[in-house]
Amino acid sequence: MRSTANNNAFVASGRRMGLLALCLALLPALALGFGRQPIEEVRDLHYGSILFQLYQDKYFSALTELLAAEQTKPIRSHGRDPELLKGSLLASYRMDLEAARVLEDLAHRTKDLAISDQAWFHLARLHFRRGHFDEAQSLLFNIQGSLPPDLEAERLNIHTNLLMHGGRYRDAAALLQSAQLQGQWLAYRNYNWGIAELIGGDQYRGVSLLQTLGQGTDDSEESKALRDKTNLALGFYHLRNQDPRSAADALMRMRVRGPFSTKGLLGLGWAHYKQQDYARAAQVWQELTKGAVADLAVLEANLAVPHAMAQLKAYRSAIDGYNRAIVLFAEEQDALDSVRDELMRGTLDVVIEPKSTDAEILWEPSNETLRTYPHLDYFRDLLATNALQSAIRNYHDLYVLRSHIEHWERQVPAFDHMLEARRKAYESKVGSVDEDALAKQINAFNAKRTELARRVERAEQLQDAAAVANEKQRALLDRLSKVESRLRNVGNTQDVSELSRKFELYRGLAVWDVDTTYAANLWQTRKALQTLDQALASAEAKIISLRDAKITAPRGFSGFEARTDSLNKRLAAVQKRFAGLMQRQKAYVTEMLIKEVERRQKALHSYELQAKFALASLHDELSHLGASGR
Amino acid sequence: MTIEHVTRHMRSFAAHVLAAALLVLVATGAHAEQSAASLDREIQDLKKEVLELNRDMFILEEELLFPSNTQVSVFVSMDVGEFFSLDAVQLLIDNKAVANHLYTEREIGALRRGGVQRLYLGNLSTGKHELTAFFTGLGKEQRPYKRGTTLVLEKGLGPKYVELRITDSEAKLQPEFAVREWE
Repeated sequence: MRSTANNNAFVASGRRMGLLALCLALLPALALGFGRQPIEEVRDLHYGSILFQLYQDKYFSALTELLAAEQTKPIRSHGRDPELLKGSLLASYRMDLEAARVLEDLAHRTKDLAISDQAWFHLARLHFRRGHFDEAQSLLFNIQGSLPPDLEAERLNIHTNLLMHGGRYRDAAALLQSAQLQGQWLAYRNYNWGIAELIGGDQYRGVSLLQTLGQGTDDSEESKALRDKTNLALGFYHLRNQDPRSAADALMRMRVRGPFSTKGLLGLGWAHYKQQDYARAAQVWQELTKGAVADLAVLEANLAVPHAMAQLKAYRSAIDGYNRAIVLFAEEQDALDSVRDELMRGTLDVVIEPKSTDAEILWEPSNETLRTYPHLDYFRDLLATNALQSAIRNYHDLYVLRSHIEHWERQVPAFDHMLEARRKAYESKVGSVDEDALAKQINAFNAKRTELARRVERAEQLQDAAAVANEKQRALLDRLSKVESRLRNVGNTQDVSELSRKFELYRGLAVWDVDTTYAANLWQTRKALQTLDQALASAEAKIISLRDAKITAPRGFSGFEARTDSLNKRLAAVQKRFAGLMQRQKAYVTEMLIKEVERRQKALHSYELQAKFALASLHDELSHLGASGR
Repeated sequence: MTIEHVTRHMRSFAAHVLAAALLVLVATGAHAEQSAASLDREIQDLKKEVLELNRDMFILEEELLFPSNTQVSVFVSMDVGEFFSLDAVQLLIDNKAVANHLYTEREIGALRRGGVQRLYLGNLSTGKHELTAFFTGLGKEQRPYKRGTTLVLEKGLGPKYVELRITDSEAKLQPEFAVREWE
């Protein structure tokens, strides 16, 4: 029995080692994310507003503002060329064809080396993302100088990935070794460098790099995640190289709860198993079986537990374990069948539909969605891939774009009403105004103003203080004049000498007051004339503006009407295209999900076969043992 | 016919079946890839058209609702924000509240990286107007902090742009709130 079971174990572990190797090879592509842009000093508010949208990943809004600015108020010169910004925004919005056109044109046209280098970089990144590796490689060679630090780190990542994709691990390692990076970038660099060395370079150095990284103590979430990934890769490497003790050391450093923890536990079980510590292997795998069955590592653990039990000669437990696994796999096959049926019926549509039309950001299922639709667990790995994310985001984009079109379709009638109301208001107010009559009035005012100015000038020449007296002084002088006249009349009949004396005194005071304030009064009068000039100039400008408005407003109304008519037609034409495209995109996403279901079913089928074969072998071996009386 | 012969025959048959199946798979795969690429291209074309349409509608709306002779835009910007963490802004023009905004984390992040938020777009007649902004948030040691700033602006015939800027004053170790008019 030992020999059969061992053979079985060899096959099974061989398969797993294959999976582990694959896992190791895929890890580098995950490393080195996008860097933060440095803070930019804004020299144009509209440019700043575009950045505000961009930094929230609202590419559609950012692009709309940028395109509108191009037409109405072009962005003033800025650190980043607006065309470069446009190209990278289009690429982020997955409009690769237009982005490539803009970037290529800019790269050829600009005389600024820094701008052309960045344009080549964005273009290379775009091709890299689409899997056009040869184009990406040759575009990277167009870069002549250095890029801003965040882009430089990303260039390194792309270049490294391209080299590794071409099997040039030594070159990738050499490139990473020479890279000058700091902070978290350095940690990612070391991770990639270690992986490149492990796969195709100096394995001793690779292990050393990853070991140092895996034993780090930085507490940030990002560092912990990278540490888990590093220890997982290192653990798999040691397992593949028949060094289970080192593998266990590395895998034990992983967190119990993390994105890679189930793979880590599966590996740890094998590390114990290979050290012939079957009890600990069974214990680890047993723990793993408590996880979600949607995780393939959990399913594998269900197969691995009885395998370890058989090695411990706990045959009854092993048989029970295999039987449970067979039942579990069959149940999972049924569950996947129903998931596939649901996908075919379209019941998962609600999951991939965005929750809001403001959903311009990366889609990922919320915990609530995962609770409501537990089968989404089956697609966790797939959801993390660029292919599915892009497909779902394209569907979301269509959904959001359609809502924009619907919004404008509702707005156009409101614009029409507004234009109509304005036209009526214009006709009732502006249309009936006789600007010629108003101009005549202004001319009359101007004539009066000229006369007043002439009088002020004469008063100044004659030093005539009374002529520029202020209102209060003039009122007093008028009253004194009336008093003088009454005194003259009364003086014919009565003695008014005392009153006349008093009158002369008051008049003297009044005249003195007018004389002493002459300069101030003249200044005030001149100021009043200036104010009058401004008012007259403003009135004349308004009449000119009114004349212009009477000519241009009707043209403006018909211009707006023509625009709304044309836009309305474009809205209707575009609207028609959404339904078909959305349906096709949804079908495409569904197809990807169904393929994933089928892939899982195939894996399950293989597990089931392995379990049945192991069970049969176990029974066979036990019956032989029974027959031989051992 | 020996067993070996039958087995060999079966193997050959299986190989043919497998080859045929692979051919079908390759053909199907290529077709699916082509169809996905065509769908992607169509989506990109539609996106381009909608973007252009959205731009034209956006411009039309602005010209209709906010003609340049009465248009006023108020923007908010900030630098690192060591001494002040912004929660909300209230904007008053001539003592009337015209905009209130509660910030999300994403928006604060975008502001800190150099983005500028258009807080308000409206219309004002020519002449003098008083603009007041109240900033609410957390100051040093996470204490609630509220500050206001006022500007009397002269609205002419062209559009008016005003920037409300929150900066850290290293000298005073506290935030500063400035209002700047742009041409």
